[in-house]
Amino acid sequence: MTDSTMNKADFYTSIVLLIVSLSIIIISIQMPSMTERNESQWSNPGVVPTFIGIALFLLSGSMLLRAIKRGAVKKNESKNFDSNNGTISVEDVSSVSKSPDMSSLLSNPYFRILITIVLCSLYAFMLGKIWFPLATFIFILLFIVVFEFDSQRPLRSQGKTLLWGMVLAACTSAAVTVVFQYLFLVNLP
Amino acid sequence: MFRGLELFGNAILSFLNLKALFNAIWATELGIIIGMLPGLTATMGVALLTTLTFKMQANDAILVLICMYVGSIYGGSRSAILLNIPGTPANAATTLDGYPLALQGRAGKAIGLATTGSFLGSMIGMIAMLIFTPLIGNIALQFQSYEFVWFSIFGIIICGNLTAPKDPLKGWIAGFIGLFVAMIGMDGIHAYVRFAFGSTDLAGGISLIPAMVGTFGFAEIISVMRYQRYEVVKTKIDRVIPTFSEVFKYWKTIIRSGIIGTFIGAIPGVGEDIAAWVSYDFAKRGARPEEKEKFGKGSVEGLLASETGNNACVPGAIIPVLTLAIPGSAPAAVLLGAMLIHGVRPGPLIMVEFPTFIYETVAMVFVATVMMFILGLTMVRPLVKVLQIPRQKLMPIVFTLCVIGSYALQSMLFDVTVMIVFGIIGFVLREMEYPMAPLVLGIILGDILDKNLRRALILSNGSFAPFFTRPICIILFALTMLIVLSRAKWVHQLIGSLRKKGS
Repeated sequence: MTDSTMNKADFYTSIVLLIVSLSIIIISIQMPSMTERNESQWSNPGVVPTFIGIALFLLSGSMLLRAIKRGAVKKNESKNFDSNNGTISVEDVSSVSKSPDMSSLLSNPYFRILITIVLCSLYAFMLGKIWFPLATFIFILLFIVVFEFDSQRPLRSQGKTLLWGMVLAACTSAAVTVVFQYLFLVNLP
Repeated sequence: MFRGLELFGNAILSFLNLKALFNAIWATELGIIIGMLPGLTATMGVALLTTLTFKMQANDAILVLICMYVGSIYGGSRSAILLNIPGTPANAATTLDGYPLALQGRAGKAIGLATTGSFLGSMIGMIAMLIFTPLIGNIALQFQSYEFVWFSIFGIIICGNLTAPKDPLKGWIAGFIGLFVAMIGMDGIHAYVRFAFGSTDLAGGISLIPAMVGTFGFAEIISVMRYQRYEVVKTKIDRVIPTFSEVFKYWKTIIRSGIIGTFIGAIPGVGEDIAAWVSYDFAKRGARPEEKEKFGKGSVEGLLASETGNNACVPGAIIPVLTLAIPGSAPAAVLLGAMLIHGVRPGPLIMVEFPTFIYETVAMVFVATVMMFILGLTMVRPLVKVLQIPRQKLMPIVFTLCVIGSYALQSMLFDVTVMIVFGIIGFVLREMEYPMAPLVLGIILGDILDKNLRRALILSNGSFAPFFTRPICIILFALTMLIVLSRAKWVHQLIGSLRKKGS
């Protein structure tokens, strides 16, 4: 991230943290004092969260002030960020949206991050609903096929990728199930 | 002292059986492989093995975990040398001189020196562990709630300060977020449910292992998958075993880096990466002018310093785990969790409840270090092939292990959700340069802070005076304030203006 992007990120994060810390303080203060149970008021379950909330409030407040001092609230004309450092430029977005080419999409770090999160979350969502070895097989196969797909090459020539993906997915799924369930006696979802 | 040596000797003998040695071999080799694969960290390795080993006997399980820990911190040097990508964050400093050495066609020598440095570092740390753990353990017996409160706050502050040197504010924020995460669920005194918002899953609290697998495992997978591929240096790996003179030439650097690594390891939450960087920095400052010029261009001294420092940190990080139940690094935090799972209660009472366990742990570090040295100098060439596995084939398998690792301990799908949520949050926070170590330390210290602050206030009837009048409390308070004030800009300005007036 460039300094200005980081500064903006700090500005918004500190606002979120200020809201969170204030909520922590309010909720903690409302916790029962336990004096009705003849316990010391200092054993109140809200004592420590209140302290944490105050500390977080002070820390995020100083980050907010620092971000403002560094010009986070000034209007920023520059829309082009450094794509090498993990940020994206306006041109990059337009080129991605204009071109449906899967290969260029797969070289876009943001798209790769998104796909990774979506595939992994889907797998986690499937657990408990589908038999574990089957869910694992589908997940590994999908992961390999999506990331190895090359739109420049004809679909037929990519049969090998699919085949290898299926072999690896089947072997992993079987090995993981056998090793964990029968060798290490671990419960599987 | 002699009683300690006797117990240590007995503990080593107890591990000289086929079962223990077999466990040590596979766990160390697996550790080396996990460490050398970018995207798989020592923390994740130890967390995943915790799941695998929880049906084992306590001593076997902890031996396996320590072997994994030692092996993976060392294993990261392979990818640092051959790929210019540190296998674990602990090996970041190794890339500076390891990779240039590989480019010069001396990859084999670099691997051999890294192995020797790691071995000597672990040995120095182990000796320190043997001497200081019982001493600190006896001192810790005198600690009361007031001291533990300050330890928790000091731990967060120093960890935040050292893991985010450019911006300690973010380190401290991460630490306090961790402390807050520990507040979710039932409190330890009245079983009052806090911040659960009606969810029965949240009422049980956020477990450490899924949270750590998320922040160190899933977040790392997302990071690794962001880019397409990495290139392995095409170099012939010739002689790996270094000569005695090659290593002995740098004995001062090795001893200094070993001591620095162990000391940094013993500081709560500050892990192997910081130990390696500080050792490297000290070695560079202390090097002869002709050697200093080689730093960053393939210096043997630089490589030895970083690898000695990071592996010396491992035993160092276990010292506070055993004596105070406060982890010295992120993998040590998982180790602490694993010890609790296996019925060992580390902390001030360990010298009373499990007096031989300290020496058994030192013996485990010894076994792991010897295994790491032997395995590190052999099987170098076949293991290089592991680095050539494409990430899109490896990462889904790793994620499957993350899922099992999070799920298996409590058989709850909620823990898988926790892992995913912490992975995404961890990734975003890391992108914004928030360190993860204070966050994890906060999750562990939260419970200690919660119980001890309330207990202390009940004992003092609400008076804060004992927090500032007891000797250890005064020292910890002064150190905490010193760290905070040393990073405040206005303090620097004030000192500057006072100096100007004085001159």
